[in-house]
Amino acid sequence: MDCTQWHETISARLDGEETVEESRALDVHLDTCTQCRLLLANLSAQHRWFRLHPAPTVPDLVTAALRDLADAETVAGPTRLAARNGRRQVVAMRLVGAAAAVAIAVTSAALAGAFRGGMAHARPVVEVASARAAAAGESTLVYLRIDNSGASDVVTQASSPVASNVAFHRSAGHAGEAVMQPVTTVAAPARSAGLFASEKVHVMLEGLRKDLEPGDTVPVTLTFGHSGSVTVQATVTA
Amino acid sequence: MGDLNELAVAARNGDRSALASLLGRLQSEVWRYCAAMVGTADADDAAQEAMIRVVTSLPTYGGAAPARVWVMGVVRHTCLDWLRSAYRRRALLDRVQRQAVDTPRSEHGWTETADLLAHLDPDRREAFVLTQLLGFSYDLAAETCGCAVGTIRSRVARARIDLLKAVQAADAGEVVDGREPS
Repeated sequence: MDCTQWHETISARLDGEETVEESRALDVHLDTCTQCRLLLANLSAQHRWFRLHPAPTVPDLVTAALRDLADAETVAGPTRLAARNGRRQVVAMRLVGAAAAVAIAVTSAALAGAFRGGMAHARPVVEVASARAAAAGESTLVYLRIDNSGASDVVTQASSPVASNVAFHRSAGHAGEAVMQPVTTVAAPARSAGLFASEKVHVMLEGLRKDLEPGDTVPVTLTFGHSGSVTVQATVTA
Repeated sequence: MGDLNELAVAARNGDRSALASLLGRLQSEVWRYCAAMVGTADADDAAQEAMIRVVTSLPTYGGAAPARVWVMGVVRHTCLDWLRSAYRRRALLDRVQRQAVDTPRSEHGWTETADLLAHLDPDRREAFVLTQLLGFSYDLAAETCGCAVGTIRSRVARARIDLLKAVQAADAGEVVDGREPS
């Protein structure tokens, strides 16, 4: 059977962009089509992979752009920006290194690396974290990936200064249902990788105290039963 | 994202610190878009050029469109021009000239993503980057690209399937090179 027509709806579902009718029709189809269920599972995994990908270290682009503007004003006098339209100048300058300016994007991978570097024994490592942008008062998901190379542990609590409450949710499994159930603790079995990434467990920041804008970083602290607390900077990715 | 718009309007009216905040807030997504569209090797130069163009084009910002969409529109045109090679050639010259003093490019942790995305047809790649990496809604992505929402929707779906095939082919040990014929 040719299911090409369903691919678009499956893709839209991952982004929450399908209509109610489409969603119903897709559920009916998924009940009978193994291939599309498999595709949804594969695409969901891919979706998470991209969501969990660390933000890159971005060179400072602001200083040179502002300097370019200042240079123009030196030549033309302090005029409005409009006077510069049409002018072309390439600033052949690239700032290498984070010390050059405000580091807006902090890679969580780098943080995780630094964290790991300071450890004497194996502890759970929060590899990557990102959060979706949201307005104050709303809730937002934090995507995490934890690798636990040590002994069995459990995440008992999470907190963040930007949220009035932080909860764990587990999305109830099969295709078509977006039911999220609150859970109180999350197991981190010994030598397990990809916790939160594969377990369909989300961290939900509830009652945000401020707007989260793309590029912001928000600290999220996870408390483990045995390994103490780990604070990770989640990059807000919109 | 209301206050990005406010920042953009203030920046247009000459507020230099608003301009710096606006650019700072958006530089990560500007760079990522450029990296995906022109490749990581040229991303720094293309993104820098794009930022300068954002500054010079700011007087044309009306305040009605979301600032993110407006900025990404400018960045998008910069990348299109880049791909038409005018800027690329100049940047190559610049790079050759400064090679002697250039330090090695720092690892930005983005190579894997860029390699994967390089397999995609450019239209599909753009739709994927905007919606998946930068978190644009389909509506905003359509506004940025000047196309219908349905077009974004179908490009994103095709990009996802193309990526899945590329990864599966790589897992199966096939050599994956070149792009999907579009």
